[in-house]
Amino acid sequence: MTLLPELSEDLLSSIDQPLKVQTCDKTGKEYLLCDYNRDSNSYRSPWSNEFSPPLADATYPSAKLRKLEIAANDAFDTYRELYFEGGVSSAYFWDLDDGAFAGVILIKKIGDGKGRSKGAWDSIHIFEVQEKARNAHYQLTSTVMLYMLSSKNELGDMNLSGSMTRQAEMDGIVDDPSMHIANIGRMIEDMETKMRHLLKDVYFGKTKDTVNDLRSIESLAKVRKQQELQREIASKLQARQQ
Amino acid sequence: MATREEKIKIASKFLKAAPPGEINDVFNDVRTLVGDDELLDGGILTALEEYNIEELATVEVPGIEGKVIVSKHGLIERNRFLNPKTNQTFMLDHLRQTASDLESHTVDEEVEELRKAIENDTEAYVADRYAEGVSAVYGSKGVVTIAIVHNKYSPSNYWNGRWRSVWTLDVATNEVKGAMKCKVHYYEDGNVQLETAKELENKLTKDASEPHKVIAKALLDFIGAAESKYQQALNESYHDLAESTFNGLRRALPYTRTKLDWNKILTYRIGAELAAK
Repeated sequence: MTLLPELSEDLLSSIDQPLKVQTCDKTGKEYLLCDYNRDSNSYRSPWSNEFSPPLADATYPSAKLRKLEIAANDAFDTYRELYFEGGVSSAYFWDLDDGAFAGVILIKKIGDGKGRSKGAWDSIHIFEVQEKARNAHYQLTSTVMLYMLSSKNELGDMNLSGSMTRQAEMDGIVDDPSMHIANIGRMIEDMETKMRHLLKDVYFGKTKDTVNDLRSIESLAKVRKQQELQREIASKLQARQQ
Repeated sequence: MATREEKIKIASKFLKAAPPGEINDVFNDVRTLVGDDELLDGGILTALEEYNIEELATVEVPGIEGKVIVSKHGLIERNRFLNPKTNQTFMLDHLRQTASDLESHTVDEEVEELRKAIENDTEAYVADRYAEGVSAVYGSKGVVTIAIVHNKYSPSNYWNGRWRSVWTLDVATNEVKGAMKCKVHYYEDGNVQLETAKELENKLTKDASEPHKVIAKALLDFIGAAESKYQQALNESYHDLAESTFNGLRRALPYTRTKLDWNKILTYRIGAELAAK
């Protein structure tokens, strides 16, 4: 970002760029990059908890949070496999003031590119947790970026891409810390599934309807004639009923 | 700190990528980001000119009925454009999208009769397929060019769309070239954009020896069929993307056909580690 350096920090956290993947030096597993596992120009692997490139005086999550983070990465690994059947996922947690904490769950799946169509799905689920004794309040902001590209002879080039964002709030019981993962997990699962339906509607319903509004498949003269005919029939039926 | 040139370059990039009907919004956003009004108004004027020409902007011209297309095929000299139907040129203020200073234009007599015949059939075709479409048919140096643009704006429903077609006929060789482009922007709690482009080349079966009416009909029949075929391909692609590509990214439900049992996952993977304090 070179426009206004002071705006860069804000923009970096609000503009959604496609998620980048990196391989963990220690474990060989892949992880996703974002502002929340970044310190200077280094990124922290959720598997090894180490920064790459190595960074002195880097910021790490507290020991308690790191335990939760490990559990989240494992749990969402399973979630990812069941829903995405491939792809990469990562979870990063950080402390907030007043004992609250926050985290982000990232998922990236690139389609297999069969049939000259390419697709990619990026999920960014950011949540905040406020605890009070055995209760917790969760706030979730979910963004899904979806890219679909197609290049075929009759079609030429087609690019259908973008993102959608939704929010949710919920209260949950936390008898022990592990329950956070279950609460957040259920919240994200419901949200992501809801957004999947929404995306399908908008991408393949709404934009398609607009294209067919921009050029009429049928002759407009024919359409108008049909509408005229329908009106005539309707008014004749009405007259007969009186 | 970005240099003056860098700022203009970035601002221009944003402007030229403005979705249909949103050029003013993008312009105001860019103004806030880059600052320095004088810098902008001078430096990004080129970007606005290029945008208007590429996107087939339509303007009201005092003295001419209906909307008039701005395109490179009607560019006479910088900021002066031709309206071939009335054979007049006008000055365009690219920033305010207003026209003025009507002048008459010298017609290319050799191709004018054919141009008129094609213009006639084009207007009928556009009225029949593009509800609020605007068209222009240019004739110059043995080439007839058809430009069609259809805009649909619904900002209160958070969507805008634009269809553009440009077709050329080389009178001597019968070669027909076409380019069809479609853009849709949907932005309710999100930002989804569709961009499509298709080019094709072919030859008309009717050659220059035929009467103008016959050539015009053959051309518009060809265009109608090609555009309908393209629209069909678009719709089929939508179907493939939805059923195949999209479903291959994320399932609606796991193969177990039930949602995850989060308690089960935790007890299996984590064990007593977290429970122990």
